[in-house]
Amino acid sequence: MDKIVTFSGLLREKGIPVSIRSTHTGAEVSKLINEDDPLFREALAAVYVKEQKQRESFNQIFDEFFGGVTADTDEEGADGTSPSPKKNVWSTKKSQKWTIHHQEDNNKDSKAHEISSDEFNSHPPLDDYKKTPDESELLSRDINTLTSFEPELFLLCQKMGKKIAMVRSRRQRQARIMRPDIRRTIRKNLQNGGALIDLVKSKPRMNKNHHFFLNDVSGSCDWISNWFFCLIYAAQNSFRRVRVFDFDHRTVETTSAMTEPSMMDAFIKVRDIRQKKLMIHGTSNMYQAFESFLDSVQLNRRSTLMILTDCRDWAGPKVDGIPQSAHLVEKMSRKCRKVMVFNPEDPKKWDVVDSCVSHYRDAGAKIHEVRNLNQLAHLVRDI
Amino acid sequence: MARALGRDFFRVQCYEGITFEQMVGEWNYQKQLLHLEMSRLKETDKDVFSEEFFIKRPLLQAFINPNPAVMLIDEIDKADEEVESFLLQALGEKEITVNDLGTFTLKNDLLVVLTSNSQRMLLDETRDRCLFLYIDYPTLEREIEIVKSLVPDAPHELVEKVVGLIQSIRKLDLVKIPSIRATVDWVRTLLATGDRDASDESLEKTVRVVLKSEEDREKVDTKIFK
Repeated sequence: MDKIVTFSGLLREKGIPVSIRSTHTGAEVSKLINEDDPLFREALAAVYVKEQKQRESFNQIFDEFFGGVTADTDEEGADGTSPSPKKNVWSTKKSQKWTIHHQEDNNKDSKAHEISSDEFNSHPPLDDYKKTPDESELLSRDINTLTSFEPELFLLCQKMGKKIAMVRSRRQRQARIMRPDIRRTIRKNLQNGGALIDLVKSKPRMNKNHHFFLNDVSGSCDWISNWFFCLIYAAQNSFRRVRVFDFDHRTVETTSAMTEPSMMDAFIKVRDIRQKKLMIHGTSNMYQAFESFLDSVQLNRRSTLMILTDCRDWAGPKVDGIPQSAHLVEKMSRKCRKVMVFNPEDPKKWDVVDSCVSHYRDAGAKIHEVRNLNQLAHLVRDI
Repeated sequence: MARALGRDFFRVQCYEGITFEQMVGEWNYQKQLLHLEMSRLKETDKDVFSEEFFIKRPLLQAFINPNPAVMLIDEIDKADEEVESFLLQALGEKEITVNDLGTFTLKNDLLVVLTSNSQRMLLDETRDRCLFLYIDYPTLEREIEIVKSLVPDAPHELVEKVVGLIQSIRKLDLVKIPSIRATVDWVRTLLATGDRDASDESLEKTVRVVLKSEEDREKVDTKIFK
């Protein structure tokens, strides 16, 4: 028992979360299976490892602690004989890595259709896939560091957007389940002699909300706005009447890209629109940008406005140190149901130098910290 | 598993929005209302919150089954976190509480299998109550064995060829990686077309059976069948 408790402690030290329940189960396993049994590691792994990415750390700690008892069938036996080829590979797998090697080796020997294309050969070997960051790491990585076109990230945004759409549509479905309509229920149950058998619910109200997304594409927010757009694109079906705008010192509508059949085409179209308007690494002038935005849309109490920006109004006019764009934010807050500002900066940097965070907050906008894709996705989901 | 262990089998297929009522059970409120009405007319007193008025769904049925059973809770990641939360009592304490009815304790040696495609992370509490097994795509030999056991009529060469191709296709960065089910479907399709030798031409024609998007089809066409 002491040994298992110590082992649990070691796993915790190495970052694998281990509960008391797992330690207890581990102790039960150690009673059932001898430490020398090659399956002992697999059995303990089933207890302690709750995510595949923890498996490698677990194997390492296990080998150090229990002295490297493994279920390896690749190695020759003590007497120099090779293991039986019919041995069950499922019970002898060491790790995912091992399996992948095994698959590749098998493919070489197979009589399968040969692939001679150079293009295919240039594809990274499967081993490289484990080097690609896993989803949870990408989702929690500082969004300011996601400044290159990574296909994984692109696909992840698409996936997240679809999940957001699912959650939102479920919420909308639930919202449509209304309270009982007593008047109609009584009328309906008259046919049952007045006995209450069928319940009639009131009809849902018409949803007439509009959503406006305003993306800051000036220098520092350029890439973040791309990921934001991807999320919105993938989740667009769950929003009613979406309009998307990009801004630096002017505003341009990119809603037309939302109708593209694939996210990649939409993404290219947005970049194209920006290039045509020379909105590449521009400088923010939020006053001008918000003014042109207000000229091009009709905001009302059914409108929700989301602005993705670091709130750094570099080139906007200021009067007595107050950025004039704050007055426009106030105007928008008065007109809209809600104005939300998604700020990718560290809160420590808010209100430092040209940051207008508190001015915008005072103007009625709700400021949200968006330091990673997870936070961004949660905010979009809860709109 | 149930067949191999000689146990009864129960299954819940999870989906977005599945509720406690759909997994455990729900009150048959129409029957309750009718009985209340009857009680009023006959001036009798009947408890409408008894087991008679409760419709038992698979999870509860598996719990109170007199014989040992296997319970499959499929694709738990598709269900909401609330579902996982109410499963905690069942998985940890081996009991299920139904409001107004009471607590049902486990009546048999129940083996619960939860599957997940990791569409979302499961709750730490759920994972804590389960053993974790990561199941990767099978090796070429293993997949051949699986396919042959499911399609015993298929010639070995055909199965080998299809599985080899599938293994190559899985290495491409596809939107939807073909599953073992897809391999089986492809073999069955080739058999149905009468091409038991699986010529390159018929493989190319039927590959769409395993590809689920146009993007994937183009990728496979250019990188495998070029």
